[in-house]
Amino acid sequence: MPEDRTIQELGLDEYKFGFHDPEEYFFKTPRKGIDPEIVAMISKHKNEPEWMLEFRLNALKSFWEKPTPQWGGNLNELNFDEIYYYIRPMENQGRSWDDVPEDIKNTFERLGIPQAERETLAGVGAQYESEVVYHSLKEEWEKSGVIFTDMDSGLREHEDLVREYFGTIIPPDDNKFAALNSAVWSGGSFVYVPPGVHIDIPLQAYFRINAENMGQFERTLIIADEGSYVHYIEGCTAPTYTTNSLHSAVVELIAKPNARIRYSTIQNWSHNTYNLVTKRAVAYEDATVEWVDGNLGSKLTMKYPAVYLMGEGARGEILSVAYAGDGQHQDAGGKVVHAAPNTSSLITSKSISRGTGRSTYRGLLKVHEGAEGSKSRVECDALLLDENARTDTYPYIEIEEKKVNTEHEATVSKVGEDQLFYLMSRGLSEEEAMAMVVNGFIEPIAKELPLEYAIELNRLIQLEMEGSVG
Amino acid sequence: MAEFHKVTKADEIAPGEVKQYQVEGRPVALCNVEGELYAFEDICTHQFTHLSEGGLEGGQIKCPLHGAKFDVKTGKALSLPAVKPVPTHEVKVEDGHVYVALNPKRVKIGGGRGRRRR
Amino acid sequence: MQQKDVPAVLRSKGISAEVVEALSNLKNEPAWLTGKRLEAWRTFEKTPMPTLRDEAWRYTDISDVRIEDFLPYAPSPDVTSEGDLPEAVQKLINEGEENSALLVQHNSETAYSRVDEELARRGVIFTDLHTALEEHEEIVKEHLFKLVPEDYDKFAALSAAAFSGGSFLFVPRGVDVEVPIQSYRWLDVVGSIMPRTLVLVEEGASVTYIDEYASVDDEEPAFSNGAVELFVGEGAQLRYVSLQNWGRNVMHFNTIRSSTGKDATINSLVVSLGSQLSRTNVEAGLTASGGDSEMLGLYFADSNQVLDHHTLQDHISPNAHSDLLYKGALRDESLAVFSGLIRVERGAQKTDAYQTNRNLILGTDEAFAISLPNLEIMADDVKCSHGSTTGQVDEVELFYLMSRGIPRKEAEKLVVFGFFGEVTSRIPLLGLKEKLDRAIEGKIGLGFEERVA
Repeated sequence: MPEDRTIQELGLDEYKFGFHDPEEYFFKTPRKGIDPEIVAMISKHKNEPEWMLEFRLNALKSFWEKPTPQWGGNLNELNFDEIYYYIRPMENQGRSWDDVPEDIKNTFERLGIPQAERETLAGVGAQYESEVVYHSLKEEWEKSGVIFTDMDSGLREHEDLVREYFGTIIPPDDNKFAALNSAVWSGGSFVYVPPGVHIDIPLQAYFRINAENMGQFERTLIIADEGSYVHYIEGCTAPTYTTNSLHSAVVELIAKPNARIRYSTIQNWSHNTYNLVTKRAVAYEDATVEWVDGNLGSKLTMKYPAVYLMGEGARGEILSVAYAGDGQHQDAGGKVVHAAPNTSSLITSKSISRGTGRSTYRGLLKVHEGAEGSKSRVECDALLLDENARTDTYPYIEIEEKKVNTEHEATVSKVGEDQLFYLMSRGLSEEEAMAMVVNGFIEPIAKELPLEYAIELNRLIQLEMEGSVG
Repeated sequence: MAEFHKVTKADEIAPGEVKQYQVEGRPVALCNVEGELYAFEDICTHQFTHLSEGGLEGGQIKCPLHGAKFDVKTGKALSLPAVKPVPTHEVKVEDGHVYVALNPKRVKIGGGRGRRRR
Repeated sequence: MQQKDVPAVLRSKGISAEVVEALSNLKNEPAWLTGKRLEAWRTFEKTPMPTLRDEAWRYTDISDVRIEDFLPYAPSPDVTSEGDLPEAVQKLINEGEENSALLVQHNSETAYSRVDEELARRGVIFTDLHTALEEHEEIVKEHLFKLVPEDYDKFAALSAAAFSGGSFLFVPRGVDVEVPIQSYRWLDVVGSIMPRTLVLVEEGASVTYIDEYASVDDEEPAFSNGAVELFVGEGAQLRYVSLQNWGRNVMHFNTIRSSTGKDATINSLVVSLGSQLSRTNVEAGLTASGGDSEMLGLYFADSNQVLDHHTLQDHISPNAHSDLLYKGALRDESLAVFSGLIRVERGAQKTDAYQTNRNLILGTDEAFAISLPNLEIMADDVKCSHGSTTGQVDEVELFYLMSRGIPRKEAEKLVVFGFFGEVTSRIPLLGLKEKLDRAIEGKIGLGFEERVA
C-alpha cells in the first residue's frame, strides 16, 4: 500500500523510533524544528486517518524541496529550525464560555474583544495555542445542517466531505508555506453550508499565538453549497514577543453555483511574527466570493487572497487594507483569475506606510481565452506618512481575451498639509487630525466590516498612530 | 491528416516514466501509463515550466512548480492553480517506434508560441 | 568595404573573442577599447541567456535566439551621394522628416553621412562611432558605455563587445538645432546589425534625433542588437525617436537609457512595428532636479509578433517630472508585453511621475496582452500614479460613427486611429506622424478578413 511505503521510506515505523506510546513520547520531548517524526506524531496524536498522514508527509517533502521565495519580503532571518511546530494546550475542548479557563478569558478581556463577541456572536470558535478550546454553535444552524467546527473535529466527524475538498484548491505543492502548513496543520475551521441556507450572523473565530517561538498553522476549509450564504470572520491579535515567530495558514473556500462567501480578516500579529498565508477561493456559476483583508501587525506579511472565477457570471471582490509601521513590511494584495465568460472582479487596496514601514501591493489579474465579457477593475491607493516610508505596486495583468474590459489604477500620496491644517483649525491635535485622515482613507474597507470590527480596526489604527507625530 | 513524427523507440519509456522530447521545436512530454503511451505539450498552462520535471502518478502529471495536476489522457486540468487543459498529442506505435502528431493548439503563456515561420 | 577585405574570422557565423579582437583591429581602435570589448565579451560569455524563468523575461521566449547562427559582420558598398543608396533607403529618407544631418548604416558599416554646413559651422558633430573615436576620442571615451554598461544585461554585453557602425551626435552648448537629425539602420543580408547610438546635448542646446530601423524582409532570421545612450545637459532639450520597422525575420534587442541635467527635458518616442521579436528597454534617469522626461510608446503587433517593452522612470533627484504613455494594439496571434516601473529613490521629494499603458485587442482571441505597471516609492512628498487598461474597440463609439453614415470598416479604422491619436498628437513632427499613420493603416488592412471589433 502506498501509505505504508511512504511511512517506511521515511523510516517512520514505530518500532524504529521506539515510540510505542507516541503521546507520552510527544509530551516528554516537545522540540523545535520539523522532521517526519514530528509530522507523524501530530497525525498520530490527532488520531488521523492514514491518508492524512500520507498527505502530511508528502507535503513535508515538498516543503523541503521548495526554495524559500526570494521575491516579496525578506525571509532570510526566518529560521525554520527555531520554531515549535506543534504545542498541545493542556485544556480540552470547552463546551461553553463558562468552561473556558480564567487566564485565557483574561487574555481575551485584555484585548477588549469578548464583550462584543458575547453580546453579538452566535457561534465562536476560538483558537488558543494550536487547539480549539472553545466552541459553540447555535442550535438552529445544526438543525439546518450547517457544520461549523474546528478542522480537526471536521476531519474526524466528516471525513468524506473533508477528503473530497481538502487541498484541492491549494495543493500542498502550491508554494513552500502551503507545503509547510499541509505538513503540520492543526486547528482552523471547517464550515459547510447546505444548499439554500443563509447564515445571517457572521461566523467568527479568533486566533492567537501565546507561546514564545510557537508556530501557528491553522487550516480552514469553507464549502458553501448551491445558493447558500456565509460570512466568516477571522481575527488575529497576538501579544508581543522578543523572538521571531511564524504564522502560516491555508484557507480554502468553495462557492458552489449561486452561493456567496464573504471572508473577513483583521490581522494584528505581534511585530516579530512572519505571517505567510495562502488563501484561495473558487467561485462557480453566479457565485460570489469576497475577501475583506486587513493587515496591521506582523513583521512581514505575505498574503494575496485569490479568487478563481470558474463558472459563468461568477464574481470576485477583494478589499485589502494594510498598515506598515516602523520595521514592518506588509506585502499584500489579491489575485483574480477569470476562467469563465461574463465574470467580474474588483480589487481595492489601501495601504498606509509610516516610519520605516513598507507596504506593497502585489496582484494578479488574469483573463483566460474564452472568458469573454469579463470585467475587472483594480484600484490601489497608498498613503505615505513619513519620508522614510516606502510603498510599491506590482500588479500583473495578463489578458488573453479580446472581449474584456480591464482597468488598473494606482495612486500614491502623502497626507495633505491643508487637510491637517483644516482639522487642526477645528481644534484637533496634530495626532488626532492625522488619525482622522487615516481613518477616512481606510473607510471604504471599514464600512464593509460588521460594526464592532470596524470600531476595532479604527481603534487599532489609532493605537498604531500614537506617537506618530513630532 | 495529421503528420506523424518519429520520436523514439517504444521501449525507451518504462511504465510510470515520463520524458521530454523536442518535436518540430516544441517540447513534447511522452509518458507510459500502465503500458499505454501518451503525449502532451510539456508546458504547464499556469506558469512556464516543464511538466515532465514533475511527477507522474497513475494517469496524472503533477506540475513541479505549484502542484497543478493534469490528466495525461485528456489534458484536463484537475487541480488549481491551473485551469486550462494542456494540449495532448496523438500517439501511435509502429515497428517499435513511437510517432507523435502534434496538436495545433499550444500552451498560451507568452513564450514558445511558434514565432518562427516555417 | 568589399567583402574580400573583411577578415575571414568575421565572415563566418558566430562570435568569439577572436571575432571581437578582429573587429577592433579592423576599425583601428585604441587599446583601451579593444580591452573593453574583450572584457564585455567575457561578461557576455559568463552571463546566462535569459529564459522564461527569469522575472524580466517571463513572457518573452527567446530560447530560439542563437547568437552563433548569425554572421557577426556584413560590409556594405561605399556610397558618395544619397542617390547611390539602395532605392528602399532613399524611399525611407524621402518619406521621413526633413533632416539637417543624415547617416545611413547599411548592415555593419556606415554607407553615407552628411551634416548641413551651417550645423557643422556651429560645432555640431554627427558621425559614426568609429569616426568619432578617431576624431573625438576623449569625449567618446568619457561617455561610451556609461549609460548602457556591459553588465546591464547579456545583450548589452554583446553590444559593448561587438558593436559596429553606430552614431555619435554632439550638440554644443546653446546650439538650437531646428531641423531633425536622422539615422537609418538598413539591413539587407541575413546576419546581424549592432549599432550603438551616443548622443550628447550640452547645456542649453536642443535637438531632435530620429533612429530608424528597417530591412529587406527575408525568410532566414536576422539579429539586431543596439544600445542607445542619451546625455542631456543642464537646461538642454532632446527629442529622441526610435522607429523600429524591421522585416519580419529580425530579432531586435535594444536598450535606450538617458540621463538628464538640471532642468533638462527629454522627450522619447519608441515605436515598434516590425520584427519577429522585439525587446526594448527604455530607461530615463532623472538625475538632477528639475528634469523632465516624457516617454511615449506606440506598438502594433500582428501575426505572431512578440513586442516587449520594459520601461523605467528612475527618479533619483528631487523635483523632477516624468510622464509615460505607451499604447499598443494587438491582433492575430501576437503577444505584447509592457512592463513599466516608476522608482522614486529615497530623498527624491516633490517627484511627479505618471505612467499609463493602454492595450487594444483587435478581432482575435489569440492575442495576448501583458501589462505590468509597477511603482516603487521611497519618498513621501510625491505625486505618483499609474493606470492600465486592456479592451476591445468600443461598440458605443462604433455605433456613434456608423450613425453618422460611416461604414463599419471605416468606423473601426477611425477608432483605432483615435486610440493612437493620443500618442501621435503629442509629437510635433508632421512627416513622422504621416509615416506612422500609414504604418498603422497598413497594419489594420493587413489581411484583415474579419471585422476589427
